[in-house]
Amino acid sequence: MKSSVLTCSNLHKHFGKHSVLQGIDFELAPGEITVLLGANGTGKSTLFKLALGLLLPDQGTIEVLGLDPIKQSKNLRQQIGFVPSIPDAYDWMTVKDLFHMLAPQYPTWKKSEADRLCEELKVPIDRRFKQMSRGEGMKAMLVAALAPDPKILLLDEPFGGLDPMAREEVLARIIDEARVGERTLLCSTHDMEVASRIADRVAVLADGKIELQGLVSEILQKEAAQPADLQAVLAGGER
Amino acid sequence: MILRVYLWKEWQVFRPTLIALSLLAVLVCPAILLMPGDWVPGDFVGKVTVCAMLAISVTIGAELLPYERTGKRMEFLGRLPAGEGMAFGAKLLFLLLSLLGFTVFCYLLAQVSALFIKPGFVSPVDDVHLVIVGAGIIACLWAFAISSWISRATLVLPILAVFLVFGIQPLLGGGVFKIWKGIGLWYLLFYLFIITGGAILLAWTSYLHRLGKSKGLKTKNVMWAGVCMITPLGLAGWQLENRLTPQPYSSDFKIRAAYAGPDHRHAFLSTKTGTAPYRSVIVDLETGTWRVEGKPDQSFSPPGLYDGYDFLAGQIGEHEFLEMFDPGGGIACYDGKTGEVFDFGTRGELRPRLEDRLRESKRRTSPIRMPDGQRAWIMNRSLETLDEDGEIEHLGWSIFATGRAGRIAGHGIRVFEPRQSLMIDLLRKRVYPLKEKWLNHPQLVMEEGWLVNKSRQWFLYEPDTQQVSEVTALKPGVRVVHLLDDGQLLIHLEGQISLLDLSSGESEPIQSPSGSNGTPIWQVYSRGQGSAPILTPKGDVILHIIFWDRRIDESYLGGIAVFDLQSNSFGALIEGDYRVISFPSDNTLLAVADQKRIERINLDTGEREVLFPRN
Repeated sequence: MKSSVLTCSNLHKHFGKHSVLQGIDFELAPGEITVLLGANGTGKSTLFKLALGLLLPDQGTIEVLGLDPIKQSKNLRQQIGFVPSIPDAYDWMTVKDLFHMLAPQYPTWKKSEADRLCEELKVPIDRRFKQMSRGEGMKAMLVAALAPDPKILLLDEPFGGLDPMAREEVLARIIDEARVGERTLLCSTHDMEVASRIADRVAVLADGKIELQGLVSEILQKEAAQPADLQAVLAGGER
Repeated sequence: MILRVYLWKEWQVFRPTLIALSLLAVLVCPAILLMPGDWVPGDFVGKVTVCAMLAISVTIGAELLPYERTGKRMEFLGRLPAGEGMAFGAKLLFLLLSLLGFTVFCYLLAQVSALFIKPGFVSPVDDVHLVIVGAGIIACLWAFAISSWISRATLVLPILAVFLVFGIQPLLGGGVFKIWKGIGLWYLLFYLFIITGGAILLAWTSYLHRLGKSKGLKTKNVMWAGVCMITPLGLAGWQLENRLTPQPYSSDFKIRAAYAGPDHRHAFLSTKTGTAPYRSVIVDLETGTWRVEGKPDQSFSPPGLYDGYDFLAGQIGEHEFLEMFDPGGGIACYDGKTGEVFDFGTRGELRPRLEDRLRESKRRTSPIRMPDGQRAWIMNRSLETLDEDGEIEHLGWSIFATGRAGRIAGHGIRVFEPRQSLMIDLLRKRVYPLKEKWLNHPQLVMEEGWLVNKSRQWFLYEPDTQQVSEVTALKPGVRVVHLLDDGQLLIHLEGQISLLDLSSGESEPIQSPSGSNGTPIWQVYSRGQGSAPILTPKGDVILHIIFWDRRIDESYLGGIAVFDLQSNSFGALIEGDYRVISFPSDNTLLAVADQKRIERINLDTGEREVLFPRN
């Protein structure tokens, strides 16, 4: 078996008295597309922040591409593409400005790739973020995440708030890009349909723990057998 | 490259602010200078510099971090490979660059505007301006630090004001800026490092806290950082306090100048311990208690000495008042009797009484003697004496109107001028320019003329006829120590002191003070003010005498001795290095001993009592 790209072991994180992650054990195999399912507030974004070295774990360990996200953050971040749930670049920036800022930070940044993706996704490169629609902004962020040719792509609920057309565009591009080489992809969502369309594996996060994980087919079978259970998990309610 | 990109990012954000501020400065600077002169604030350039630094502190210093908190910018910056450190460092660098850039711009703008509109307001580069820049950097960095934990940028200014007034100002006001010349530039830089370092540390901690990464900083690291910051600060504070406090028992403590009040209860000292700055000390001579007054490097001086018009004011005497000048131009006046700062009261009410007290003290102790034995003194920029009726007579020579330097020369006062010295001849009541170079040699104004020494020979010069005659009674190499009121000269030659009658040429050897064991006298001199001999209240002369006998420890046998004018003989030698400061009674004197102590000496018995510092 290939060594995992992301490994969480007994991972804990709390904010004040609120415990968000309560001992997560989780692995990502290289080249796989994993969808992290969970209701809002279950800790999906927290897990991404821990993977990016933006937060310190309270207990347990997390390793990405064999690197410590805190101690080897620079090296690690140069190999990760991240798409946030909302476009969080500065309002005054154009896409060109964003690329101007990002390019020197990634040794593997490919301007030609960025230009190609912008053209294909119809990203307005001279428009400021504050003048863009949510969909255009998300596509720009996706291009920015893919331009350095990352080994692992993290997507934190990238489809929320997108109109159906933009959603389809983004989804299609993600599916295409995920199939490039050995790229590993972890995408969080609470949308089962997205999971069914892109995922190799699915992990369900609830109450700060991984409740279910396995091949997408297994999870979907389980949903078919006990649909109320999984829907409840995804809705964040009682099972 | 990455740093440049981050600086570019900040420039994109704050460019409108900087352009707006620059335009405002371009409009406001000339506008203020075009107002009537009285309305333009003093040190216009300095004030513009302060405003420039405040403007940057408020508009950029207080906004650099808060604006990142809108949206999810902190997260955006934090997840980039360059990391939080680069983002934070670039902000700090941008802040300093914009602060210095805008300040220099405003400084030059103010200078150029002043040059073209009101040249009187052009300021040379001044230490004060450097201090303003230092203070501005501190204020700006603290605005940056406060904004890192205050969510509303608008609150930063009032909090910064409170912090500066109650937190930093007492430290700086009392400890650094006002005395930085005294304690040295390195101390100032050290303080700046600590204070600005504190601001940066606070900002960095808050920044990480906002990112949710402060866990490690909250405990051990912050504690160690605090210890590392506070320990040197504490040590520096302790050392500074120690350095600025006179150490009377230290081996390198010295009393550089001392003045006694009119009732001899208080002594006003200028002290120095090692390489520390001068400190002024007031000693209660009755109890031995003492306190430090004024700021470092400020000293007491008798009225008129500082601005030079009473250039003969000295340490000996009973000082009704002592002045202490502030480098900023203020004067504190201390009451010689109480040792307290004198309240001048309302103008015109207390002043005349002050003048009366001052005149009276000068009349008693002035070293200037008129030929009839009356004392003369310098008051209100003119020479005064008492006439036969006891009324004040003004000898109104204009040379006292401005600051001078000079020394007593028998019945005259020699005034040093840059180009040509002058002689005030109190016998002939005229001021003579000393045109010829040889007249500048040591001389004495006497009834017969001026006694002048040239190439070890003595001559008598008649200033009105300009006739010169050789004085054969004074052998070559003889040193004239003092002109007595009866016209006799106290002279020193070849280890012997004698009394010489110039008219007859007869000289009478004077026996050396008892205690000298007949050792030849090496030097005789006076430490009286204006080089005049010190006179006791009875009119006897006190001389400093050093003998040839060199001691084992390399110090000389020497001391002071009273020359009794009645018996023409010396009293006992009071051995030691003494500087007389006053006479509490006919037979006691106060003196600074070995530059370390204040002693009271009984001239009859030779008994000495240390008044400061007491054990």
